[in-house]
Amino acid sequence: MIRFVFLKLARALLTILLVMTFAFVVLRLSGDPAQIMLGPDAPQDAIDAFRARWGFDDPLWRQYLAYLGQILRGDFGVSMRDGSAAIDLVMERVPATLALTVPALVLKLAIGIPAGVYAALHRESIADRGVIMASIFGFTIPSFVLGLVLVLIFSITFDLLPSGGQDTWRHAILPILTMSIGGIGILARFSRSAMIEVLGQPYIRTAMAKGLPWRDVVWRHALPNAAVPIVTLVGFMLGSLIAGAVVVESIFSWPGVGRLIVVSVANRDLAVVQCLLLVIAATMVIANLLVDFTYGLLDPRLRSARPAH
Amino acid sequence: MTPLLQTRGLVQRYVTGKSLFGEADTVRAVDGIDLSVREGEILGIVGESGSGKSTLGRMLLGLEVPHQGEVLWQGRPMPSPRTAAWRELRAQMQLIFQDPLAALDRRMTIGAQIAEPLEIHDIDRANAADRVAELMDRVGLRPDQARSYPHELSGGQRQRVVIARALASRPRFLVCDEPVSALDVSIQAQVVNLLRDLQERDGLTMVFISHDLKVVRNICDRVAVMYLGRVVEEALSDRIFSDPRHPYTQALVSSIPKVGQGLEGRIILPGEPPNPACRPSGCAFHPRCRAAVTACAATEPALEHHDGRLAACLCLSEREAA
Amino acid sequence: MAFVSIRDLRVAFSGVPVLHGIDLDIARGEAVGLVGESGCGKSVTWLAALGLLPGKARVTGSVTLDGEELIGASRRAVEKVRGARIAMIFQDPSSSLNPVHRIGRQIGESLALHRGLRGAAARAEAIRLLDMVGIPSAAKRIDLYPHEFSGGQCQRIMIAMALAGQPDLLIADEPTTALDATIQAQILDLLARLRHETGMAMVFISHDLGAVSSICDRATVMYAGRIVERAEIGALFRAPMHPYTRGLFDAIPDLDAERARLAPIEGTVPDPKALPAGCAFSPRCVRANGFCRMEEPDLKPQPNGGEVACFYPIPAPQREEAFA
Repeated sequence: MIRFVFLKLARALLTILLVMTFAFVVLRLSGDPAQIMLGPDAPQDAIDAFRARWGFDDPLWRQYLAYLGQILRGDFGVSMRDGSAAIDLVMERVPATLALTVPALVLKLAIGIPAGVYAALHRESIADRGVIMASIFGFTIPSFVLGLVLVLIFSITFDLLPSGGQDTWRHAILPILTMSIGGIGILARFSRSAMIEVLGQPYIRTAMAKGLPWRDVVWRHALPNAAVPIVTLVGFMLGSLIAGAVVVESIFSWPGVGRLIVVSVANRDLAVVQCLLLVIAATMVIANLLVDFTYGLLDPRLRSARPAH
Repeated sequence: MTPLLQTRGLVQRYVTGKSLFGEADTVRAVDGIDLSVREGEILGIVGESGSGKSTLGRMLLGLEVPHQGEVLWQGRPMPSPRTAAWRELRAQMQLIFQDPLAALDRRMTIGAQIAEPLEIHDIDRANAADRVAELMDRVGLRPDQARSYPHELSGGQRQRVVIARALASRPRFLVCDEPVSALDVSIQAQVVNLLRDLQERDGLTMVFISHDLKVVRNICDRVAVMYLGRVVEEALSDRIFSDPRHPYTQALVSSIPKVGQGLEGRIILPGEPPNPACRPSGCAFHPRCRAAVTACAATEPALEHHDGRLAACLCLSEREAA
Repeated sequence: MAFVSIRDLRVAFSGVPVLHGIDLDIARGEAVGLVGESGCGKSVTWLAALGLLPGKARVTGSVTLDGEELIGASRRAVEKVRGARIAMIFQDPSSSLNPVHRIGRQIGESLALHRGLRGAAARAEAIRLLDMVGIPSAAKRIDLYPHEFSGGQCQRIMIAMALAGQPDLLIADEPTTALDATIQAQILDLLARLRHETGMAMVFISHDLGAVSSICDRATVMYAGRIVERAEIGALFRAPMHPYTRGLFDAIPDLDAERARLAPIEGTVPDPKALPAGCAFSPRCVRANGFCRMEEPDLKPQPNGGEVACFYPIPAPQREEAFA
């Protein structure tokens, strides 16, 4: 078990390192930050000074080693725009993003899974068809279209909710809705097929043949097995808690991590973008670890590969 | 006369539970097999799951490279996989296995699938259509079925398609791995008869792997019984079933439910075949053997001649010495 | 009166009939074999009787248990019968146990449901049952998961679970088909012993005529959703009357006779969507004539005590000759 945890952690750290390296190289090969920061008309000596100030004159490998050294010391660099610490810039945006993504995730789970399970239990009923249609609708509409439609209806036509900004809880309603509808559709669809698959398994027939009431067959025998594939998808959603709101934050001018990504990338604010990618990669990796450990809890077959006899 | 196919000390092992830090377990799925198959004969390999019979079959065809030992084709070592010589040899040896639906491509007509080996091995390309018709006739399929897809045929017909396809490259040697196990009794007999005809009419040589002893008894000339990767008894089919000598073979033969005979007189073995990863010491069968003596736990019995057969059992050797 | 009585049981999947009116009686304590090839309806009969078929199946007819009707009964009423009066075990033991629950818990569920046992009492009883079906060191292994047992052991656990409700009838649906020969023998032995010890009745569904003949008192042969023949085991195996039953016997290689060519039944089992007119076996039958292809034979009592659904059953002299 300890070896298992150790291996998983090692793999997680390796993943983060790869993301960091990739981001570092790509960012440096895809445009000159000095040009972008100082503008196309900047004098050559200003550009040279900028480059020397941020260390862009060194060879790439030396810059990279310096960067790794900094990270190990807990220094994530400073923004080239205003000199404030990159990690502070990122962290102060995180709560605003979580204020959207966490409620959205709760909505996805609370509506998507029950709807999918209900549809699977009542196959080919009107409710099942309704769930299928609604979920297709949910995950085929891109969020920028959905966001604009919601604004059109609730803000412009009926003037019920604000169309942007972050002043009150009412401002969060439309972004949260926009974000959750697609996820609800995907989860409903996925839970439905996971559940249908499980209900067709021989052990469900065994549980019924035993004389268990249908409720218990569903709760004790079907759901724990259907949970395994559903957890994978939920883990993926958990991983995008930080980075999953780029489009929605832009539509509703919500000052979260997503907006920071857009602005920093456009400005080639290297330290901030790298720091953002690091935080995002860490979230995904942690979500993945959680999924792996949950698998072990849910399915004893995944705990050890070796049979006991 | 040189046997068509021969194995010498064939061993296959697999690594299980491989990991970065832990020690890997190795399982010897096949553990020292010496067999020979004469031209035109059908050799049966019987054994339960985990006995290594399918692994052996794949090694005979060169689909798996043995860990130790060698397979000789007409007295010469098998060329290494994926070389030109190997491909040429592969045309002469074909595999038929249990699940015909898995062996066929769902999106191709069966005519096209039977013709495929002709293209691959570049045989009879000019009159491929005639050759397909001839092959289909030989396995008992109607000519109009060439345009059908696998799902339109029954299980028995699909197995006939698989056999026709295997015959397309004019092989001399077939390995049939549980070819009739997935089929219903009445259909099973049709396919068994077909395989028998191929041997009798065309002189095809076969290795027939199965757990169905009745079918093996019917179609095979000679039978080798495997237990945990080794041959424990080998004899002519009639002899091994009418007079099994190894205690495992005896139990196996007696376990066949016979019509009109109750449960009396059967040898019920205790326990289950052990995991090949933890092979018992001495004779691997001794923990379940009713004839076992103390020495069986210590000494590995060799496969020796006993009364017109080969058997690996200490008790048999002792009885003869006495 | 029969303990379980099935009358004119019919099943259709999405409008395609697969069971065309089955009549079957099971008396207390007897062992009845149900024989036939895949798709003949032998499993469907009992899945339908216990309400275990998926929703798209339409079931009509009558199944009574001590006079109580099960077809069309409330879900609760049928659930009370399952496991307690009639238990069922299946072909593929490894996937018939829930992979995420310990076996002790899965047996305990039945004990709680049918005998009100919980906690330590349930655990002790579960261990006793596992011992009874021959799981070695049951007390230690009760907390293992299904994947930690072999196929043969999983079938033993399934049997222990079935025994937990102390049923009057055990339906064993191809219980040994997926197992190796020596393990098959063990399970057959176990089933015969348990029936002897508990006095429960048993329906043994199998395509293996040898297995059926070794543990059943009488047998019923099915073809394409109908019963074609039934008789005492001895009579049936000595002198089968229906050409299909006879064909099945002939198709099985004999261990003692010459290694001759086998005698298969030509053709294939008909598609339930396109059943032939008249007797469903007529296209494959060597004895059939034009009449057989138009009229459907009913199951009729025969002088030897059996019943057969055939216009031209195999007469006695020819049978003796065949088995001489």
